[in-house]
Amino acid sequence: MSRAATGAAPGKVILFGEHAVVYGRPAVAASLATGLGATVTPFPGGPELEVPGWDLHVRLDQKGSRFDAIARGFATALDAAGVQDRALKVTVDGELPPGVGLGSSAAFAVAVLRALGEWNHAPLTGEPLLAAAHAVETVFHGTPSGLDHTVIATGGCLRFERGAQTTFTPVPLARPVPAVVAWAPRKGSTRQAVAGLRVRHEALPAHFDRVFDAIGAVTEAGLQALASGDFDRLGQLFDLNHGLLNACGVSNVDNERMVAVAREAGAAGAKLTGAGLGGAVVAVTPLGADRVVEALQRAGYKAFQTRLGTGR
Amino acid sequence: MSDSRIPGFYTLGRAARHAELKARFALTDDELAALDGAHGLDFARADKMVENCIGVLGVPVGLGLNLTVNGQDYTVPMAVEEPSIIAAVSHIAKLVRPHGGFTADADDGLMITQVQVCDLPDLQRAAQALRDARPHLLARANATQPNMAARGGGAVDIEVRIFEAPHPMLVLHLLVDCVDAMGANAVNSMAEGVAPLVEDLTGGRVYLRILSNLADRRLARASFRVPEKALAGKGYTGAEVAEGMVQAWRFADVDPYRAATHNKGIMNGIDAVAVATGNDWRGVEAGAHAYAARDGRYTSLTRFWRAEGHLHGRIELPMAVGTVGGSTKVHPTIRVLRKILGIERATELAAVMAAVGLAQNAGAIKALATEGIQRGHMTLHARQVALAAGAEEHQVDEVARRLVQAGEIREAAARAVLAELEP
Repeated sequence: MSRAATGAAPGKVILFGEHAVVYGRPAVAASLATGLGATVTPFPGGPELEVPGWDLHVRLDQKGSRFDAIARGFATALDAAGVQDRALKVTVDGELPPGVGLGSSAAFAVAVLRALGEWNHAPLTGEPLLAAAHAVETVFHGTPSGLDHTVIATGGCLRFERGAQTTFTPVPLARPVPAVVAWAPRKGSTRQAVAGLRVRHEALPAHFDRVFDAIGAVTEAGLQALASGDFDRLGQLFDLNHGLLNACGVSNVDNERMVAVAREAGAAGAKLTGAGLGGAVVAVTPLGADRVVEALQRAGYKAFQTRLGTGR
Repeated sequence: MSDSRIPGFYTLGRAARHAELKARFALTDDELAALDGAHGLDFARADKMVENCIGVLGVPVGLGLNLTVNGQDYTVPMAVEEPSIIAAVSHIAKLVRPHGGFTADADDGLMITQVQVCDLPDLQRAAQALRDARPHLLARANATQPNMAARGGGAVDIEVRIFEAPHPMLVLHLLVDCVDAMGANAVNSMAEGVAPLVEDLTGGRVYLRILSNLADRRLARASFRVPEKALAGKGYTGAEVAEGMVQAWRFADVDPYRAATHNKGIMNGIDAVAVATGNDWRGVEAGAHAYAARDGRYTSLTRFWRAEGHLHGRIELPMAVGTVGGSTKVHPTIRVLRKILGIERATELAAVMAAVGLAQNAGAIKALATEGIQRGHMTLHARQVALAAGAEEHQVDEVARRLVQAGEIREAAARAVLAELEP
């Protein structure tokens, strides 16, 4: 049997500054050491896409199914990778859960594009990969911020700022951060979380601006802790950022419980990551990551051990 | 790439050798200090590397010189405590150099990682289930190491192996392109990552999930040819030396007792480079010896033959080495040694290490062969001296033996021996 064409992409978490980024403050995101893998194999009836972990099986000729967005995203990826001969099947798998803010759709896009590029003997890297991933993400999300697919395609850790122009700057890391990621189902969409905060901000602009300033300052301090590899300090800053997100009203009961369980089990610090209203939390675990994972699982949540900011 | 010839390097003192390094490899004073035993690996770092750490152990590091591989010069750092190894490599490299040097190549960095599946009522059916799920297994494996894919590597294929009696089990191989890493940690994580899926697919129970050191998809090869004339030395012809070397190889080819020693000599050179570059030399050793027994009988990893007035040598063996990861980042001396070697790609390192192993082996069997020839010549000469001194036919062998033993083959000595022998 010939070698298969394969590709993979990590998931991501936001380390600091979610929500505040909408109000002009900086944010920091990092890739995970785990993600999604894609394999392309010859398949006469293709193109076909299978994601066993998400219970997805898509034929491109399927119309009006619930897989419509996925099917269109897959078609966009085939076009962007310049695949002519479409007698193929793409299988995607991995432990990354969809829809909890860990960048699963961008990881899907980047992994599939990398595998298709290899299949096509024209590996996709650098700017062309970012552009293609952006096209796929646009199918999934309308107007993506670009943060997810940029940090996932680039790897490592990025500072992100929205202004007249969106900027991404690589963040120096002393070493990858040992971490635990846990998640619960979302109780509201990203759009709802952002809109809710906008309403609250409009009611009390001066108070919320002070909260966003505080998040901005925590983000800057976090960048220093990442550069020096001071994980205890990083944990304290996670706790601070989480408290401020709670003040913003985007943390729900699952976020609070997961953060409390992680801290109780010995994490150096923990915070929700992404839009909130459920979804994922991330904990810094320089020691005893096993205990933190166990405690979270015992509390009824899904959790895994990983490292943040690996790759380039 | 710097010229690998440094004439008279062995005559220089430490300061002068370091001045050469500074000039040739643009080493900084800090980097030179890292070569000093007192300023290399410190306790704090060593303590993070192993358990119950009590200190560090120094090993001499020398430079293998004169090496040309595929037309390119390499100055090869070798860390080893045994004398003559570095000299032998440099000697053969110098001999081969004017005749095209070594030709070498290495396979892509494909490692095999194994998943052992037991408690299966129907091995064939379970095997088919795994084969059918190939893309799924590869995707799951790669999801555990997304950074490897970003570097152009990752799990690229599977193999399913069935063992019947006495221990029925199924073994899944993931073939993983580790690119420039040795890859042990990554492939172990992949095997762990696919284990739950393997249990789901087969209904069996997974026990071991770990890499194989028999890295036979990651082979390195090297060869050379020299005109036999170039092997001639004081008192022996090139043809004599070539025949002696080929006879030494034939011995190792047929006899495992000799092959073990012969291959040990090969690994003298390869291990020294593995240690100096921070690679897992035990893994390289295990792979080499397992490969030497791949046909069911342990034999030589090299091959030597004479053709068209030339002596030819060739080696092939697994070479699971990397240029990124491992102890490179931790060990300050290894960082400097890698800078001297100046190799970025793992395949290039593997090819150069194969050439070093072949040079080492050629040096060892050349020394054994010429020593034998010399001894033969000396005995011949001693017999003539004994006869000239007036020894009778029945005395000649004994007189010659004593002269060779004393290392003094002269008529006066022969007469003294004869006087002792005669009642």
